[in-house]
Amino acid sequence: MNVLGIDSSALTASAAVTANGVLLAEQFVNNGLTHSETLAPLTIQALASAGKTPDDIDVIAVTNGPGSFTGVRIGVALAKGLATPGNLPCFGVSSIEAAAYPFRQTDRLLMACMDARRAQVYCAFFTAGERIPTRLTDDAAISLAEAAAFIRAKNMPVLLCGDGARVAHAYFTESGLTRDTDIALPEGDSIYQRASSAAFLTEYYLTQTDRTAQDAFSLCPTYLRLSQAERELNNKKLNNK
Amino acid sequence: MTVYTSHTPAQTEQIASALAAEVSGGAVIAFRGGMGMGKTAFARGFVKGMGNDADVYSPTFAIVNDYGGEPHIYHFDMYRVETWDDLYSTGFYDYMTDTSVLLIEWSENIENALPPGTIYVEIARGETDCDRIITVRKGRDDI
Repeated sequence: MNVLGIDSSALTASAAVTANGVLLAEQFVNNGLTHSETLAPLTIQALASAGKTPDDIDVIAVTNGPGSFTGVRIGVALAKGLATPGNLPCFGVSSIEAAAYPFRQTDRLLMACMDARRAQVYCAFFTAGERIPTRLTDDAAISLAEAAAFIRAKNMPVLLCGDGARVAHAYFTESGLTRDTDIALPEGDSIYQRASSAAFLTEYYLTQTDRTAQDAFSLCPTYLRLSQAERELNNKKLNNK
Repeated sequence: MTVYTSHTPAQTEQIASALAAEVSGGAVIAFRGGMGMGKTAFARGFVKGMGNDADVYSPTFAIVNDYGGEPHIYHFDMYRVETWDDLYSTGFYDYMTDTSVLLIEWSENIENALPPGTIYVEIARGETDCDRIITVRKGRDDI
């Protein structure tokens, strides 16, 4: 199965081509440039490096959220655009699960999270799994305080990943959680989700489970609602001064 | 807090240009005050003052204008933004980085989403119809 993977759900962007569990080519950027400008060239380069054309692709895998509002839309729009002419099937992958995927052999509690600002994260917890990480919780928008409570209750060493890993580690350090819990933060770019992870997860789900691909039309972004109940967006008290 | 008086749109632009010279990437400029006060003129002067020759226009319909440059300047109009979901769907958080400068009209609507170091610019009518009192406050504590 040839899979074209696309990810632009957060800070970084990448495109990858995999074939039967082998990564043929991957392009990755972490250069602060706009995904709307970088993602299509990355995809063309990944296909060319793999020696493939869109006609060779069996399914397009895309991280369809949660994450950056514009980033997710750019990735999903590109996937739809590429899939539509040849009526290629698409498969939406959780960006959080894609971040967790490379760490599936960890013996720690895996917290994959994306920064949702104001001490909140889009987050899920996993433990090790043979082919894919074993999911403990659904993707959810939670506060870092809630994440800390979950970690305390699990009482095991933690590995952080995802573009929110550094923010989470800083919060856990400041709030004292790192004093009594071993919380590891991988160095460098390994914390970021990759298009290849989206492609491998897609191949796994389509060949090993009863999940099925969808057409370009029904592929949609997945957004998670942040909890903002604690305060209004418009600070009426301040603005009536 | 610094207060300026402007008698013409050109003077408003000059005051804005001077402020722009003090600002670098990561800055958020939040406008407060009503319609017709010269926010867009201020924005025009500010963008020019950052060495950016983009055409500055009101973002009322687009919600956000992208003027490019370095630092990258984005110009928002939050008039129609009422909820956190509205704000998220403008891409606001994607634009707020260490290398960008945000100009925000109708910032009152998103007061609680503004970072602590926000520079507030309030433009009010002065003695005559042409006069404007421009008050610049650095940080929420200055309000």
